[in-house]
Amino acid sequence: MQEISQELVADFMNEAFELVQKMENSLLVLENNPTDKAAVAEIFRAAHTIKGGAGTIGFTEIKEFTHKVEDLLDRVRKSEIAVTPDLVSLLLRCKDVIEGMLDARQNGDVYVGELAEDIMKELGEYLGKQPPDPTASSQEGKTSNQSEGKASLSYLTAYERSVILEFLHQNFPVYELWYVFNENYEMKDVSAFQIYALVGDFAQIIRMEPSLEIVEKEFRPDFRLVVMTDKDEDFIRQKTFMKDLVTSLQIRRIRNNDIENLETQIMKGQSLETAPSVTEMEKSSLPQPSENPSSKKTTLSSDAQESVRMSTTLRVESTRIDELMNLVGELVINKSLLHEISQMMVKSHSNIRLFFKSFLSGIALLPLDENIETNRELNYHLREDFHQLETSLEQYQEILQRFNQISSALQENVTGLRMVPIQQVFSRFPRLVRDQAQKLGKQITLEIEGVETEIDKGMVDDLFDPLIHILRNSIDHGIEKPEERAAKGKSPQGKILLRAYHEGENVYIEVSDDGLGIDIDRVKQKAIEKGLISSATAENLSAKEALALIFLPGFSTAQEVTELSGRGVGMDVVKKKIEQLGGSVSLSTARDKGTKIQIKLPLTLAIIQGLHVLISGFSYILPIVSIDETMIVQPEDLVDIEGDPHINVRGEFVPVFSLRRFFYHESESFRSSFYCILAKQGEKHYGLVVDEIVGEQDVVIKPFNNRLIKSPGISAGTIIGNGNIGYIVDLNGVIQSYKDIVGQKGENHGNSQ
Amino acid sequence: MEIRNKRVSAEETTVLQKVLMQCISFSLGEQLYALSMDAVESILFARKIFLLPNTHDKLLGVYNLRGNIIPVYSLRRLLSLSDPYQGSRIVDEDDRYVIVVKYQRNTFGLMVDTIYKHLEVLENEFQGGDHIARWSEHAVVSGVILKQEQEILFIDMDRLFLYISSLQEKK
Repeated sequence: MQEISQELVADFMNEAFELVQKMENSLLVLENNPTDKAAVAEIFRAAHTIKGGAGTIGFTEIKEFTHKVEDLLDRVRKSEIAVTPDLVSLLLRCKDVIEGMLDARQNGDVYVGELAEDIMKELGEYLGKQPPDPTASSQEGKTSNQSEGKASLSYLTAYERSVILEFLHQNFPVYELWYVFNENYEMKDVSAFQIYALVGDFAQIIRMEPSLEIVEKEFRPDFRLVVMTDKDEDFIRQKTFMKDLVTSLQIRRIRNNDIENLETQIMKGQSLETAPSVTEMEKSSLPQPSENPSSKKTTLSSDAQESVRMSTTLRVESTRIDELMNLVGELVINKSLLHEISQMMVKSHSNIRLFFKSFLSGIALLPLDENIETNRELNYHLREDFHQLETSLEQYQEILQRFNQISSALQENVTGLRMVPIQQVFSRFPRLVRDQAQKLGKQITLEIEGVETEIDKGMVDDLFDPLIHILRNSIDHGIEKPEERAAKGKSPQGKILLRAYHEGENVYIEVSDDGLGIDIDRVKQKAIEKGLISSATAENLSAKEALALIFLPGFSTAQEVTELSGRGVGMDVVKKKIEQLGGSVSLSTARDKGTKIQIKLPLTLAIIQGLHVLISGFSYILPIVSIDETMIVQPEDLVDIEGDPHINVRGEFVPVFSLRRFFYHESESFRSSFYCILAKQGEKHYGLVVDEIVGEQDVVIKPFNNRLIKSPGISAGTIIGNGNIGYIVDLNGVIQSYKDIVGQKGENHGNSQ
Repeated sequence: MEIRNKRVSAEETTVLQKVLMQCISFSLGEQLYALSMDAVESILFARKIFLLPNTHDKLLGVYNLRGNIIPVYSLRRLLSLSDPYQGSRIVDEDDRYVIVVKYQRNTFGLMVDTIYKHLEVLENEFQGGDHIARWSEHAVVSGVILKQEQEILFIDMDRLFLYISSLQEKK
């Protein structure tokens, strides 16, 4: 192992982030139920795994810190330390530090924080020991492999140590075998390999020191193997002590305390030894902790730590892969069936052809009586062949049907691979709600439903921010303080319900609270003050329309929201984000009953439902989500308003503009009837004129390389059935451009839009 | 300019004959050009390249490369030469070629007139230097390969990509 592969690091990171999340969840469970042994075990396991992994890839500071936490947890596990709210808070802060360390490593830094040291001290107090010298972690000793009788095992990595401990816990014997080779043996170069192979026959080799790679390059006078085997020492000696090759063999059984002593030594920094490769890596490629104060992270409040993590790996349940394998298996079977049928058909076809050939060429030459007989026979064969052909065709159609089923199932399955439970998003919220509520002196319980609902992996990161916005609005402005609630006759404890569920082709996420609700009159007033609407317009707004004002950009900023008994912190941002994911947001509220925000999302990001239209001979796809209706407009229905054509749709004057003009700068005269597609942006409709409507279809989004190509009004491409390219229209962009053009329009305005 | 992939072939006997790089050469009109083989993914006929509206004019269009949509540029236009396909909405030609290039994980196509051949460029056949930059408007040519009486202009991938990216910024 000469260098730690990026893949290994990425795997560790993915797993570690999941584990800290698990830690947090279990800690919150523990807080509510201090006697929950399973939660303690879960937290301990998480810490233990992170420690082992961090050691393996040389993230020393994580290993050291987590080890400390693990010690404390071990004492809790053994009921030597009681679970108190203080302890849970301390462990939560520990989890924050571990997460901070992971974040730092992910950004190529090493976490430096006084917080970690403070917590180390606290941990030390709990454990009744002196905390280790924090500088110890950066002192790496060098592995020596001196040929001395007593082996130190110091070459073992943390991961290997944890493997050994695991074996010992399960009562499997682990040995260290130390072979010294005969240097006069003519084949001494392969001695190590021979021994390795012999031992491998009856034991599981945990570590070879020096490694096979090193032994391949040069002869080493001795080597050590750490192995797990159920065979005894005599057996090992008898099997592997080859007198020609080996001059001495020492066998030592490894016990629990050997490893534990080793760990303590490492903790004390006396001879902190890891695998040489890690040591080298630490020196060469890993950034060293700097004492630069600017890189110090001292606080790790939850709001500062809501960083979105991009993860490109997908963990897929093996059952899903199994299903895929089954489908592929069926495909293969189908393939061979098709092949058979094809051969049958070819045979029948050539028989029939031969018959006709002989019939046409030979009929005149045959005497009549024979002719009847021969013809009868030939007729019989011909009928047989036709029958055969018919059967083949029937089978062929059956197989084709099966093929269709398989390909649909395959599509569904492969799409399913990208789906992850929404738990990945939701799991981070309990802590957020807990901390925020405590900060504001409110009592809030968060109920979560439907964590198993699956969403596209690509949405996980993008959903995080909008949901945090919404939740914080509920906590900050929705739920009242306990005394206020009591005065209203409500339970002092407010409730926020976070719920996800599938319905049809969509995923819904709802956040509802039983707080104040939104004061619609105040919303109107605010909008008038902000100059978003006139007071005359406000008079005529329905409650629903008034609520929609909240989503307008510039409706509110943080400092003003506090006077508003509702929300609005960046709701326009929330809406924009959700719309980028192809979804929509709606809101309902009742005074003193609470507020409910519903997010509707498509199942997958990779496929959208679109309306296939033709513009100047090219295929364009308009996302169905943004379309209200399609209509055919007669030229006489057009109304000219300020030089721009409009149509009257149920009392609303909708501007009409041509996509052919937008994309290809061709003039549009609107002399004959035309197709118009009504799209909505905000509260207003726009009519987009296209040449032809082909129909609705699901299209697979093929993103463009934005570094190289950007086309205003086109968000991505897709492949239409015949292999041609179609363009997916960015309706918001098109409408915005139209608005800009209309806004700038001067005297050079043409006779038509 | 740094020539990557410097290597010395085993058969070399004199210093003068060191192989500098492997190239693919092609023509635009009468002039021969060369690109380093390192960047070349594949070569295709210029079939079904669809114009992408509202983009700069160096972009010929987009092409469906095994289910991925890649941009295809006209090398003629990139070098400010005349291009018969200027203004075409769909290029669908059997006698023009597209060289598919992969550079820093960006895949794109370059349409050229004809593919000439594979070249093994020896050190003494290559003349680099920035004075060459004056030969081409956008300094994407960074040297000349003199081989068998022919002057082949060497197109530098780093510079070409920089230029292509900058077009996007301007747009």
